[in-house]
Amino acid sequence: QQSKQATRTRTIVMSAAAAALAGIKVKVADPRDQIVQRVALSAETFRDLFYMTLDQYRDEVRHFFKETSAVVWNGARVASFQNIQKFFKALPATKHDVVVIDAQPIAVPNGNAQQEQQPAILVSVSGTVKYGTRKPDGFHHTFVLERDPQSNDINAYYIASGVFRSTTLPHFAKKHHHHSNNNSSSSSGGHGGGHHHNHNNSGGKHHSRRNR
Amino acid sequence: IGFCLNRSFFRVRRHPDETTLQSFDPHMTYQPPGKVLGRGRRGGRHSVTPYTRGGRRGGRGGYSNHDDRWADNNDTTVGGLYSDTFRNRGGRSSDRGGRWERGGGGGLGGGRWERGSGDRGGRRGRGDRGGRGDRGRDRGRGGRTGRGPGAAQISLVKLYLQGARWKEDAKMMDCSNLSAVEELQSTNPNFNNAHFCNLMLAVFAEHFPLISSLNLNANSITTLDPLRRALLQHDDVKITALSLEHNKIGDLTEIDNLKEITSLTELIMKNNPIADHAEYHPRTVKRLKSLNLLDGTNVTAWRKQLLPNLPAPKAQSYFSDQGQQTLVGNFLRMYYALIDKGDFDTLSEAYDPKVTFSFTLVDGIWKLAHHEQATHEYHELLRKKSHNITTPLLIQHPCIGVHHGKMAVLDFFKKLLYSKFSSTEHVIDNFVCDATTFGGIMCVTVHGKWKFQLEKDKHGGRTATIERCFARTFIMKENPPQTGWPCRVMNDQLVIRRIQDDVVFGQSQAPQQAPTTTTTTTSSPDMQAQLQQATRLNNDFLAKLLQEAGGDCKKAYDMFLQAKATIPAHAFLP
Repeated sequence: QQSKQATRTRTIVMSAAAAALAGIKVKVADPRDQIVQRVALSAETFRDLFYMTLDQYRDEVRHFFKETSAVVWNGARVASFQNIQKFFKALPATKHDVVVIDAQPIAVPNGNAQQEQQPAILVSVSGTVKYGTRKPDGFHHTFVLERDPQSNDINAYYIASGVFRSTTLPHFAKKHHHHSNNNSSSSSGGHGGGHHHNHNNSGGKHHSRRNR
Repeated sequence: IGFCLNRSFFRVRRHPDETTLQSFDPHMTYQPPGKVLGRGRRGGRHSVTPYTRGGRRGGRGGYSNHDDRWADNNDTTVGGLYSDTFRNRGGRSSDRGGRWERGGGGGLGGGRWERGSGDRGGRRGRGDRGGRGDRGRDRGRGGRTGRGPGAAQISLVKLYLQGARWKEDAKMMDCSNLSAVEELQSTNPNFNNAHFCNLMLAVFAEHFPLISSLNLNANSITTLDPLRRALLQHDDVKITALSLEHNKIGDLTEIDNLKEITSLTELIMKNNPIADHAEYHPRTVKRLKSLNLLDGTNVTAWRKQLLPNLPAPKAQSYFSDQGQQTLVGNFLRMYYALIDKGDFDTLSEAYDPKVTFSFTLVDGIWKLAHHEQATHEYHELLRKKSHNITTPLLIQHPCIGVHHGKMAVLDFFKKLLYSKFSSTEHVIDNFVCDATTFGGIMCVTVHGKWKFQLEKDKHGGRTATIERCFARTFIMKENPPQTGWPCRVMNDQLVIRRIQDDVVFGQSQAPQQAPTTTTTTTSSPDMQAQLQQATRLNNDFLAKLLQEAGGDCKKAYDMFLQAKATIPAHAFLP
């Protein structure tokens, strides 16, 4: 079953999306909007596949990338394709929860018909991630998905650029003046603030208390 | 007969409210202190009310702790009490004239008793312990009046500490093993006792306000709760270093008591039962976030244990090269300056005619704070235009929130997104930006904060300054030179979410106009890969080396060569 998973992830098969297309309920008139609609479905499929792989089948994540992929993690670029496997292995166990996903087609200026129909996709994903048993930390992930030219399947995409940022940073110093030996990036540990939910609620409560 | 009378009085079973003196005064008829003194009860059996000094604070009740009155450990005065009083009475009754208004010090009859004070200096009264001059009378045991420690106790403790235990230069108070100190026995030194802790803190607050280091070794402390309460009550005393060695603290939950003392940066708890717990270090370090040194060692190692084992992050932005950095920096500056000005027409030149823009609001997971209620309407409008694919709204109307073409995009800005504001502010230097390139196209993700103020609504409602976090992704193509804008936007995605104050956006590393020597310039990824090849260090140590070298790969290599002999074997790649 794991190897089946591997083949599936190698080409992010949009056949699920294609099947869904047949059953699209809401018709949109504008051809640009039609592309947006299809792209949205593809993006959803991608999101499901990618984060499932990242959470449960960490070793298979490398199949999403190619030689030319750019993977940036909190400002640090993963040096080469060989390092991608090591990099993802080094991450602790994660559990991602996607709150917001947004997708757009990237228009190629002088593209042919096929390129119009299977455009590159810009996906923005925002949500929370749990490292191990910690409370959730926020993250924001931006992808550019491009068609895989080496594959025969027209629905095969790969991640051309994946940029990850923690939005609540678990390992930057929370406030610099609390830590006496604060080097600029990573050596001194610090606790990030609460995760999305708690922080927002407590923020609200805090304000109401103050105003009262 | 006089003697007999006295003796009979002596045997009289005294009412708890009586003062001693009353029972011995043959001329005095008994009246409950409350009525006579007019100020509530005064003094206990032990506190000689008429002998108190003028400086005493008013309102001291005497019997708030009845058990203290009747059962006292260190009460050496019982015997002495009678004899003293007896003695004193003999000489004093005439002075008193049988009136009790004088009781309670200060105020009424103060003049009368100054004379008394003077006399007292020569006579060894109850309050004089250790022959310490005119310190005033003892106020009972350990200040258990319920209203705080008495002045006499405070000055007793203060004199002792000043002499023996205060280190001025280190601002350290050495309170170790106080129970063995003879002079302080009357105060019943026991840090498990709330009154005593209160007394000590009162002494510190009044006489040693600069204290920053407190040594509480060997005081048989089992609980930190009284200390916590006292510290919180006297919160002008800021203790930064606390030593609790050789005590008897056994419960891990005692650490939580120190949580509220935010000024604490050093803690020593060796030789306590608690220190043998497996969870002692991680738990303490987790609970006490302001702590820097635990048992003499820096806490970073333990703190790191609590963190996820993530790769070394960089708060600053990532660019492929210097050129890209200046390009993107210029673009963002121009872009956000125009937004802040509200000049959308000029902004339209930044966009390609066939641009696609989509907007998403991360909603449903935050409650608006009180002062943000005015934005409620604004948020409702935005929510309806949010292109979050998975929401039910989008299933019905798949293309809400996506705008095609320059005009539509600017329309959206003008009418909805930026329209309701009287002012917006983007502080570009605080942005963090990641830019990648592929096939001649740049993908730039900007994270930042922005502030805005809504226009006053019809009813003249409040307009607070509201902050939000956003993440914006541009897909850009470089423009040929000589055009106004360095690049043009083909795709624009905006995600707005709640402000997250604990996110430290790169403060000095944001895209800047002038080329700077940031780490990104001199250590591009291929140079890093080369460095790794040359040094054969593994990733962690490579990162450390680069950090020490300030990001400069060449310098890092030199440092590596110099220090080669001292690098441990496990630093290298297998």
